[in-house]
Amino acid sequence: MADQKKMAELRAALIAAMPSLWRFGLALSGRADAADDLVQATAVRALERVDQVRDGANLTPWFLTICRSIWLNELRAQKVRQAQSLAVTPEVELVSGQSDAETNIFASEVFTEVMSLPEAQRVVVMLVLIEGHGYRAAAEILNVPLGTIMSRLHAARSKLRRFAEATDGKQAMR
Amino acid sequence: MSKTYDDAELGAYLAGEMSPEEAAQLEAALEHDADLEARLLSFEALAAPLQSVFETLPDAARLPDMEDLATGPKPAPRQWLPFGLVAGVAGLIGVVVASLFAPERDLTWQEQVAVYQALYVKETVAPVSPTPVSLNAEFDRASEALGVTLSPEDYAALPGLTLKRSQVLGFEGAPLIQIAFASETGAPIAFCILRTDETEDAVVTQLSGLPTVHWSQGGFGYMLIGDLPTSDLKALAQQLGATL
Repeated sequence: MADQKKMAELRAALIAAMPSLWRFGLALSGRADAADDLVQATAVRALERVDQVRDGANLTPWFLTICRSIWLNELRAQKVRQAQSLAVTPEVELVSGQSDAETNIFASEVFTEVMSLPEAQRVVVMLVLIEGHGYRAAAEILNVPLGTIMSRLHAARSKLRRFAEATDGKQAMR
Repeated sequence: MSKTYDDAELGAYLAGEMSPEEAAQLEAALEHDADLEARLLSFEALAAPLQSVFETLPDAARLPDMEDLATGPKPAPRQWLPFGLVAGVAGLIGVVVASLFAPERDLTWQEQVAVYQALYVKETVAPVSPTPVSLNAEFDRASEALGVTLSPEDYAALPGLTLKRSQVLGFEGAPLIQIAFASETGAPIAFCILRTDETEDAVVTQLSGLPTVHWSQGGFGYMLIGDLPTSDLKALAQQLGATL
C-alpha cells in the first residue's frame, strides 16, 4: 500500500493539473464531454498507480501520457461512434459570453479555428503553444520525433497566423 | 558546437521562410539545445493570443471532485444532475453548457447499467452473505425471467471474485440480470445479461468512470463492470464467455 504522504502529493498534483488535463482531453477528442470523461478516467488511473510516483517528479507529463493512452485505447472508438449520431459542431459556447463583444468574437474565432485543426496538429498546438510544454517535452508526451512536432506546428501556424496579427493590431490601437 | 541563431533567423524559421536545409539544421540543433528551444518558444507569436482564449477553460464545475474519485462512489454523469443544481453550481454559463451537452439520445443499456453500478460501494456488497439456498433461489428467479438456465456454480469459482447475489432488474421493459461480486479488495463488480438481437465483439471501455467489458453473442448481451485492472476484466470476460 502506498504511503499516505505520496498519495496526498499525487492528489494535490492531480488537482493542480486538472484544467490542463481537460484542455489536453479537449484537444485529443475535439469534444468537451469526452474531455470530462478523460479527466475522470485519467485521475482514477493515476491514483491506482500511485506506486509509480517518484519523489520530486513533475507529474503533469505522466498524467498527459496516461490521458492520451486512455483516449487512444479505450475512448476514441466509442466517441467516434457516438459522434455519428450526434451533431458535432465546434462548441464555441465554451469560450463566448464571458466579456465584451470584441473579445468574444475574437475568442470564438480562435476557438473554432483551433478546434477545426486536424487532431494531430490540435494536440501539438495545445501542448506547445497553449500549455507551454516546449517542443521536446511535447515529442516525449506524444512519443513522436521532434521533427514531427515541428512540422505539425508549421502547418498549424500557417492556418492560425491571422490571430497573431490580430492581437498585434489590437495592441497597437490602444 | 551548434550554430548560434539570431532573432531574425528564428523569426524566419517560424514564418516558414527558411530554406528546408537550414530549417532541418535548426531542428537538429533544437534536439539538444535548451536555450535555443526557450528562445524559439519566446518568438511564438500565437502563444499569447491562444492562451488568452483557452486559459478560461474549463469551467471549474466540469472537473471531478477528488474526494469522490478516491473514496466514494463515482460522481453521477452530468446528464443525471438536476438542472437546478447545475445552474446553482455553474451559473448561467453552466446552464448553457449543460443544455448543450445533455444527450440527445437515450442511454444504451450498458450506459444505464454503468450509471447504476457507479452508485455501488464496497459497503453495498460487503454485508451480503449468500447461502447455497439463497443463491439457488435468486438464480432460479433470474433463469425464469431471462428464459435460460443460470446456475450459481458457474459464477462461484471465478478467480478473484466472491459471488454475492443475483438480482432481476429491468431495461426498457425487458429483464436485465445482474450478478454481483466482490473483488479481492472488496470492490463491487457486476456481470449483467439481457436479451438482444445484436452481435458485438468484446469492447473494453470506461463507462461512468468504471472499467467495463461488453459484448453480445447468441441472442444475449453481456457486460462486466467494476473497478478491476483492465487485464483482469478481460480475462474474466473471456472465462465468462466460454461458460455461456
